[in-house]
Amino acid sequence: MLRNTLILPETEAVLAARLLQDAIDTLDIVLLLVLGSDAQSLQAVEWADRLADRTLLADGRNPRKVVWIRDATAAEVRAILDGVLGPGRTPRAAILDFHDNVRGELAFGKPFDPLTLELLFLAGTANPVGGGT
Amino acid sequence: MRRGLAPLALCVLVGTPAARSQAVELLEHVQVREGDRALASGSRIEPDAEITIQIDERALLAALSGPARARLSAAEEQRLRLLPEVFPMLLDLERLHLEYLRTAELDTTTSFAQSPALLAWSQRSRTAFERIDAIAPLESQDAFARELRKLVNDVLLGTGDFEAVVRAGEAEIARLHASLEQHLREGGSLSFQIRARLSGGGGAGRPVHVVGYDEHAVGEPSYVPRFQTLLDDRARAELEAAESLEELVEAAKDGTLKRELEAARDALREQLDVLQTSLRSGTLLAAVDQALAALRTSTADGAAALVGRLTRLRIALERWEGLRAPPTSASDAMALIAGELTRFLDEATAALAVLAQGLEGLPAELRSVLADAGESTAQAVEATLGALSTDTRAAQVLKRWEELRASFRRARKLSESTLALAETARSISASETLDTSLDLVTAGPRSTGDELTITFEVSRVRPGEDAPVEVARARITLRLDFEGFHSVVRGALLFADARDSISGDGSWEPVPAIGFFVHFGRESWGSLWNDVLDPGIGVTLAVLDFDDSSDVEIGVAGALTLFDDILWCGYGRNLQAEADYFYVGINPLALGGLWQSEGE
Repeated sequence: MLRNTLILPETEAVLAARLLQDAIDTLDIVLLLVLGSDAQSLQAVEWADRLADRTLLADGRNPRKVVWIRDATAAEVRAILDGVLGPGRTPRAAILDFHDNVRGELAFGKPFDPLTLELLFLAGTANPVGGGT
Repeated sequence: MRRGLAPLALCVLVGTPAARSQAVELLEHVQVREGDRALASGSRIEPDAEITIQIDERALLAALSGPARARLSAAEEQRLRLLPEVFPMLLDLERLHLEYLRTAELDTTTSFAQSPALLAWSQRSRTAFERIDAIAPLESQDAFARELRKLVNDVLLGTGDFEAVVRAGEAEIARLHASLEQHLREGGSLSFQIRARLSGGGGAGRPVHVVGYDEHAVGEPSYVPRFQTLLDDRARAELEAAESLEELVEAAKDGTLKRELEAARDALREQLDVLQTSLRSGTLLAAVDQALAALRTSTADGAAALVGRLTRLRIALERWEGLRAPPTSASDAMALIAGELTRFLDEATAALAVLAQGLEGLPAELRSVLADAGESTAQAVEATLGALSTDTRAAQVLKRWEELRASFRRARKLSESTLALAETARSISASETLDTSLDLVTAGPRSTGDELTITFEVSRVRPGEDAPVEVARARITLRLDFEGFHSVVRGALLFADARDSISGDGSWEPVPAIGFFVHFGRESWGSLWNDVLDPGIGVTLAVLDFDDSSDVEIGVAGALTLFDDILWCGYGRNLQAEADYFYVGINPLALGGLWQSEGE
């Protein structure tokens, strides 16, 4: 069960775009965007969700959140991604810090494991507010 | 050596290829401490200090293992360097994580972005995991790298713990170290030696027992009080030296000393003449000149070598001839005290030594050359040989000299052997600690200002070689002194000048005195204050002689001292003569210590 992951609908692009924008606009979280619907992306989502448990508090608050964008090609979603990641960029995963700056990416085709994803999450929270990478 | 994870700091000096070529800095692997305080050369220690010496055996081995280390792969070197760094980080992460959870749950008003606990945990985690990522890259085919990565992933996914990671890392380091030790053994065994000596007031000092490294006897514990008013052995000796100097100064003032010294100088001149006659250096010089002239034209085997030797002998003979008379210009007695006589005696002894060495075995060599020499050469050499062998008095002098030299050599060798027997060089091994300690309380008499010198030495014996070769050596010198206030009782010779009218001679009277002084030392004030100026303030008591009608006159004065109580000055009152006086003074014993060389 994915407790910390928002799975964007593939069939409703407008809704998916709105949910993605809401997630990005949510204050005080670092957001791990996972793109793609293949088995590797599923594995990444499952691991990332469990890694997000590491910062989950008893009252349900969590500075980590995962968004699984199974279809990043829909125009509405793509437009938002272009604004956040840069035009045309489609990594396997990317981490946005508290201020929605991209702090790290995992390229498609590159092997990864939980440690790789944890380092991505940490890149989002290990920088002081307003600080660089 | 710290047990637990810290010993695995083996990597600290494994370092880069550039570091390999550097000489081993022993002190980088040795920590000398007094309690919790790390000491360096020049540090001050309490006179009753117990000094602990901690050696990082693994780092030392690694530093000494240049050729052996070269057999490790770059990845293995990286492991040795990074793993010990990462262990404490990993274990610290648990604490930081709990700190984050606790503070974030208690404080719902502070945002995550502003949470110091989350930031600290994240930064520390990132640093540690980046190290792991470097030690065990994701695509590595190495078994250890894969295992390490898996164990860390287990922790991240909640199915493992960091202790398993650390255990695996320790096992890997132990394996790598065993490999290093094996290579080191092939390159010869390494031994480690520590020696300590305590010196004060000049001289080479005496050995101090270093536990496990020597069998020097230790004395009964003797504590050096921070505040004391007792006249201890040193103060008593200083007072005696002051009394002797007082007599000397008085003798110099009334001319007695000058007469005595002149008599001694004349006696010395007479004795040297006797010695000169015994050696018959004049006869020898003429014979040597004759032999040299003949040998220079000779083609006999060994003639050239003999010319060189006879030339050196001639120089020594000339020098000896030049020393026939002791200094005659030293009409001033104090000039002799100042060193002219000492210099003369030193030169005479040195010349005699060269002479004895030059004559050693010379008759035998002359005979061997004589066998093949031409007629004129033979005659000249015969003359030299005759001068050497028929002069029994010269032979006696040289024989006596040789006996002295031999007994000196034996004594020196015996003392060196005894010291060597009492000292233990210990093998360096990663599995056995080299740590030790030394306790100054059992080191016998000592005073503030004394110096404790600790020498560290590493030697290597290669297979098939008997003698160890020194690989590295380091030394630190610590000064015994109190931190803060402490007091001492010292003796000195004062020159007191009466400031009121008196019946006797009160003009710069030399008088022995004792003083009680308080010093204040603080390491942070630096060497100029503590070791050079070292000022003291106190009171002095002196037996004066201002009033011809008084049998006993005691002077009490305030005092200031400088340079470890070498120079004194003050102002006080003669209680019986009821006269004030000013004085300056010196501590002759401490002053004499300045002239003692370190190597004595």
